[in-house]
Amino acid sequence: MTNKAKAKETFGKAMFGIAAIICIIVVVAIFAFLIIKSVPAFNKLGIFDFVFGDNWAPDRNDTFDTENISGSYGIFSMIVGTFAATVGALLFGGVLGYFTAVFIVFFCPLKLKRVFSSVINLLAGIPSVVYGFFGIVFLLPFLSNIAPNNGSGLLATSIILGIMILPTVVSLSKTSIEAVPSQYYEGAVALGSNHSEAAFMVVVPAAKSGIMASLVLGVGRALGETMAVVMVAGNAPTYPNSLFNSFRVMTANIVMEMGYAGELQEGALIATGVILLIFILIVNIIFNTISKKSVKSLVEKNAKKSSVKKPSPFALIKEKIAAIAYKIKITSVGKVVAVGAGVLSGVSLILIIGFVFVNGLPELITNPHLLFGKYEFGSENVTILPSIIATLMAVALSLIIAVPIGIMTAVFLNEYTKKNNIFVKIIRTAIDILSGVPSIVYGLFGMIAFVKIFGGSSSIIAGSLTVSIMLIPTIVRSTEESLKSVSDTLREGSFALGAGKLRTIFKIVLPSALPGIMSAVILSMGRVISESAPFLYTMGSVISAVPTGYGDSGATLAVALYQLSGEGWYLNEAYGAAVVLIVIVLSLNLLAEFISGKLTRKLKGA
Amino acid sequence: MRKTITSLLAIVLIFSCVTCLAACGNVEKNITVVVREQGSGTREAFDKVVTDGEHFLEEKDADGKKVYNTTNTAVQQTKTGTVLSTVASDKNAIGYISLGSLNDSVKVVSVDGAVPSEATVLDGTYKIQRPFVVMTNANVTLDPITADFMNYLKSADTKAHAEAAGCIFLEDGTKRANEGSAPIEVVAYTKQASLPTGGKIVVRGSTSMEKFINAAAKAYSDLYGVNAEEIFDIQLEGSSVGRKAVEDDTKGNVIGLSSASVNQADITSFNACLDAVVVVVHKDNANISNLTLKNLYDIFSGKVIKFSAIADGTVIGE
Repeated sequence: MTNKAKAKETFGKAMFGIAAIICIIVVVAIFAFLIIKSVPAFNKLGIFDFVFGDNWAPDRNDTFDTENISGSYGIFSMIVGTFAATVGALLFGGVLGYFTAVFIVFFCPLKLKRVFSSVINLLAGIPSVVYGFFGIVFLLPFLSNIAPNNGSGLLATSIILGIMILPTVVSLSKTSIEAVPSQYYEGAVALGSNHSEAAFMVVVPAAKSGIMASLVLGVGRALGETMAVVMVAGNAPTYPNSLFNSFRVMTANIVMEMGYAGELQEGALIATGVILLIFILIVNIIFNTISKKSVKSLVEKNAKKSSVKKPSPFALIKEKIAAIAYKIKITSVGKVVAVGAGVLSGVSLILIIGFVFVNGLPELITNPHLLFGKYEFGSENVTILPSIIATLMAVALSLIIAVPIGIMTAVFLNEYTKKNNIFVKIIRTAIDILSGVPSIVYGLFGMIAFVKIFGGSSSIIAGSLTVSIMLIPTIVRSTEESLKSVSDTLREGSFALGAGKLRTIFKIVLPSALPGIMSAVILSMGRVISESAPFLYTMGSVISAVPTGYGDSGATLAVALYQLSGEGWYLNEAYGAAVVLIVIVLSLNLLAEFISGKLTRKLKGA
Repeated sequence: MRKTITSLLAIVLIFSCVTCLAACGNVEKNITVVVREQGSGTREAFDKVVTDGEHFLEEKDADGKKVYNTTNTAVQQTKTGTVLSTVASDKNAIGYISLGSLNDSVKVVSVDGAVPSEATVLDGTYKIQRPFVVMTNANVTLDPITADFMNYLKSADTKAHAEAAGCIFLEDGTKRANEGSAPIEVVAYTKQASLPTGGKIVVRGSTSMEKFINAAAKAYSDLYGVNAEEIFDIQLEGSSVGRKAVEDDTKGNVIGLSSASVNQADITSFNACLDAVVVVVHKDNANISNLTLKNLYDIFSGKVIKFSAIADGTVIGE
């Protein structure tokens, strides 16, 4: 190797290394921020009193030095609220999702099957403000017929969250049911079971841990959800002691008060974020254990098929129950339930999109000002043009920051480091943790770090930086996945032909991984467009004039939808904005699916 | 065939459940208490006045701890507009908003016999009132354009904007200043030779003051022949946000708006006008047209949960 080539190689390695270091700095900064900002609050308030106190009445004049604080800071009612909402979401979305997955695999007509699956995947991409908006305009008025209040509360929150976790539960459960070897089904049928019995008694139980994992992942999503819940929960800081009373979850607490919190209150809100993060970490750990176990158990089952074990008493009881269930034909009930669930989730999904489109499309057509109008100062003629432009600016800047850092870090981790390096393992774990952090916590970080740097008031640059930090973990993870899928023989071939490492990466590895990386980038775009919680206090929350630069504030389209639907006077405009938002996000998702589909075909062809 | 029948059956089952549930709702509903979030100036003004003679909705207990006595079942809204739309669409709702934001989609309730108006607010017979405060940071030098706009806001020219916004302009210099401070007299604004230099004027704060600040900003920009959106960055999210933005101001270009009185060492402020917090109910609510402060306390603290328990100021059964 010549000196010049050597220098080039070193330079390249240094570049990737720097990206990885930036990544580490970001990770460390967020954890440091969470710890430094919450520890004084924990100290001042006492962890026990903070977590188990049930009176939340903050005073913004309290500081860490105040001798006798006048506010009360107990979040127990919100912890209970968060768990109640999550359990409710599981009851709706989990059960519905489970049966829908069974329906898709076993009872769905073949022609419908593909459509159904891809529709469910698309639904995962719908912004949470749209779900919240649907809650406000459809679910709450509907529930108010049976509720003693306007319909907001635990039931509405559980239904909305349930629909939101439905796609996650369905697609993961479906995958694990389909992964069960076909001999299971064939064996059951050969022994005289009918279709339903084989499905419910043999195949689905074999996929048990995969289904559990999908439920746990759904729980994670429900725990961290912010905007949709804020829109339907009512948000009084109390226990959810009936289906229809106003209550508050932890994420809502942060988003409702962080705009004006005093010193101690701000600490308490960040501490709320830390407690939430701990819960989500626990859920993630459970998820990882279960999904590892599910792979293991399938492998073991295949291996130990012949070994006969003495049945445990527990298994005997289970057998008895199964026998009784068999006698009363519970499986045929199960079939009805599965078909019903499939129909119900299909109907509810069509309802959401259909309801928004039926109300929104006419508004978009009859009111061109909404989409193309010039912003008029102090006027009541709403235009979402400034929001669309602000959104595009945020997308552009955050991708410019996050994509190179994310991709280069992934290259560094995958191409330059040894597989079992402890340091690398730590970075990976940190990135995994970061990708589970609820977006509102990023909002807190951005508000305290970036907004302060850029002059104290919200701006597009502060918002973009905040969201780019949120994107980095996702981009690193998915880029790594696609880099891993590039076969080592390609790399070896390139080296054998005399190409250097840098050349191999740029000419061989990255191009082969391109479709995967592209779809990660497109999904990131979709994520910036659909997020609202991290932008509220970093970028601005009110529709104003078309921004003239990155120093201006501006509401993104999703934030604008949140504001418009909240105001009550601009419902038609809100429908219009929701249609635009859905169309943009869904077409990005379709594009991503198309590209990754291409990737799969290419890999299969190779 | 069997498949179709079973799925039809499932649909019928679900629908019958829903209609059955809907039929159960024909009893008198509880009052929907609609309040603003705790950082709101409107909430602060309302909570500090409404009392049953013993307690206030917001008070400090014997240990100096802040206590909110508002009922747990209250629906919390973060915007004036949301309060209005909730009350306008719910026959059993009661809420409160700023006088300037009032429109005819809801019905106004008089308090202790006083209808909210300019006269009743100025003479104090309408008790739930508060000042609209304009604030800047006391420790930074304002940039020229922000300083000039502040002069404009203090001038007699804003009287028209106050009226347009439905709040009551204060002529008396002592009332414009905080209690015990030097009076802030109304002065005449002199137009500068050209628009003073500086970037955008950042305005943050109370949603209740939206009409006032928009009118003032528009008139000021017209004076210099520029578009308002070129020199103003206005985002209104609540009084506390305004106070915090002013405290954090390092560039000297932030103006804060608060709809509750402000008395802080690091903030320079003056009261631009007076506003009443108006109690509103649904338009078709024929039974409620006057409530005492005690009635309001009972409703908002959850002691009275049905409108039928109150008939124009008297609690039935008490």
